[in-house]
Amino acid sequence: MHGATVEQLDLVAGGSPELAAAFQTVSDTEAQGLPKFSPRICRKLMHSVVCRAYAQAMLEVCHLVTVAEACGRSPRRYEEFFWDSGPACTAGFRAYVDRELLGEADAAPHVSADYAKVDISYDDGSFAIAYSRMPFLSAMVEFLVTVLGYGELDDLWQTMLSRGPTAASVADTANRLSRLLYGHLKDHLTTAQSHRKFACLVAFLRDLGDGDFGPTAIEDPVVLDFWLARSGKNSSDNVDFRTFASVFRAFVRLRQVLEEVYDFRALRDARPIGPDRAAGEVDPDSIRSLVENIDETENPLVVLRDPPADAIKFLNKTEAADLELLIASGRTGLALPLSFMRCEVFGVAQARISQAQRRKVAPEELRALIEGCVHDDYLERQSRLQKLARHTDRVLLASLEVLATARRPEAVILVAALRPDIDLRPLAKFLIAGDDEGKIVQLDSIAIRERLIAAMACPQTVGPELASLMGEANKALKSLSRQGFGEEETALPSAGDGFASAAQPLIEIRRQLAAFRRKLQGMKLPRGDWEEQYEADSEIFRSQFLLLYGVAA
Amino acid sequence: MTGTWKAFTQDRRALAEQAFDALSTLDEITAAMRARETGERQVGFGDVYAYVNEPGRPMSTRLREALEADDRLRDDLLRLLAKTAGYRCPRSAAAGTKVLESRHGQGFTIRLRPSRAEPSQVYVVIELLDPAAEAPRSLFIAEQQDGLLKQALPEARGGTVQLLAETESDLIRALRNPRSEVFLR
Repeated sequence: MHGATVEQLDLVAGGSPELAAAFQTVSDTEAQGLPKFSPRICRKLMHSVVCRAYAQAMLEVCHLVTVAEACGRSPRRYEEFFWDSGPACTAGFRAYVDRELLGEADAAPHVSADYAKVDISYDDGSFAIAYSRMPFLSAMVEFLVTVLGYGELDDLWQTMLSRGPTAASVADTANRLSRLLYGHLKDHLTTAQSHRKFACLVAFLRDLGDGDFGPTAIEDPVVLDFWLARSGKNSSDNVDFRTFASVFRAFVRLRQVLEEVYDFRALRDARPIGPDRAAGEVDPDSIRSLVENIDETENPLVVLRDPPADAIKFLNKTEAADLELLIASGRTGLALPLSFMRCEVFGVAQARISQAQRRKVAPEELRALIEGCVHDDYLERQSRLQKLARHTDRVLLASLEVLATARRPEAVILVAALRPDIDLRPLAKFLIAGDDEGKIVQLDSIAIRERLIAAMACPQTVGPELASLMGEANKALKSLSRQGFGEEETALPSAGDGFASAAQPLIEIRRQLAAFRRKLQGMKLPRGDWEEQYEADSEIFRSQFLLLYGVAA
Repeated sequence: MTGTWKAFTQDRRALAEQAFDALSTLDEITAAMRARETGERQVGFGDVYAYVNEPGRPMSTRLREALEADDRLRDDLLRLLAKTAGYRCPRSAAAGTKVLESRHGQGFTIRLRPSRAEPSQVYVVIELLDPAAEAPRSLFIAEQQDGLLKQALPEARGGTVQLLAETESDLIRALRNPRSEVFLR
């Protein structure tokens, strides 16, 4: 791992800085001047590694190496497959195999392919790898080469390849690879601190609830009480609860886990891991499956950062950062609205104080910083959320205009999302049509879609409500001067793909923003209103900050 | 439907703990990655591969720094070169050799011939024993201490590649160094 960059990373409790740097390397990898791996693939890779659920991936990687070696004729066959085939995407790998393997009639009779997958026939068995799986496997190879080194991998794979691979020898190589990665993670992925964190939170909740608790026990007062009780304590157990943000995130994660784990079906089907099951070991695939249920496999912000949506600037950096915590907290954030606001206001302020302390500023300067650490109060923060909601509406409207003009079906989804109560009866006439003899006939779905969307683009024919919506959509598109919204850009045939893939994520962001703002408006605050609450919380947080950072009077 | 802690089986408690552990680690790693977003890419094996395989690609400052800081990355680069080079000339085993005027490897020879017209320049003449063989496009010279030197090569004519260099240049110095290793690819 490259020392200079590792030093730039803050210490990571569960994973080492080296591990974080390795994931960063994968995420930074470029091919043909473009990001090689999408954010979604990088996240999937992190899930696999952090949950230690990589055994199946190691097997697939080793089989893929035999496919890669069969492609082309140069002395660097598998390397070309992984590092000379462009950005890691399903279509790219399919094209590479088509060109390099299938183009060579007698190159590798043991490997064949169809549109969806590659099949490998060994003397003692067979294996298939879907093209759609290859971007993830390629990211796994990039990660392995980063943490283990090319030399180590090449030794392993050359041994496998030089003997003429069999299903058994590939499986054996995959086991060796798993052991190598396990050995690396032993030093770089520790669990002790997170376990202590978990035990600490559970003990606190059990004490509050006379020995028992459920996810709903995690409420706003609990989060604040825990932070006040734990943040100032010397952590002899090496568990850091100093920042309010870390406490909020820990409770959000605990609540999410408790909500999901009770009904988690995969556990019932999981194979026991021998005698270790009794010692509390759980099948890593079950852990990964639960983590993926909770975590952001379909986080809308991640989808917006992925191609093809990333070509269009739906959100700028500040807007995305403003949404990050809300989206990451998901529906759990709705259960802890005051804690969320405290995190956004006082948590952000605490980050500034911690930074100043790391810079070793003088005590009086630190004290002054604490006194004036808050930039946005609760009402100002809410007003930023309101602005974000308005912006999301505008971007959705602009997307509607682009998608309707491009006759894309997602336009209908946007209409339903933007105006769920709209009178769609004027559209009914576009769902049926008369034949030559004047009989009513049913149109097929593509024809219906074409007619509907064509009608939407022609507002005069569809009634006043839809016409007005389409008028707003047109205006919204003209008002946006960001990358991807220009007249020439939206006229490109490929533009529709970016807008189409962003439609659902944007609708989800809008939904979460609206739900959270409704929650804030309707909630009963301990101090009556948001101004009073801010005043009261300011006192609490300032006193605690002064105590924590050693500048109390 | 949700249950309370007491109602959870041992399995579910263990799963909850380990899922919490994984999620906390993911959060911390993500936060650490965001904290170091400097706009500068992290160097990885992909950069090494591109440097070795693209004849016109120079060594970037970031790659040079990474190779200096990370012995394993440098070893990976040399291994990739050794594996993929069409021609290779190992370090000279002859003890006491001070400077070399020619290098011999399997299937090729490199000779250094002083220019008659310009005494401060030297011709580097690479002769391939098989004129029909695919001509190399890059010359790499690895020295023990001083890193790696790369030179894009002109097209071969009749199995010979020829280029002119300053006598005092790093290229000539490195080629004359008996402790250097030469790769053509």
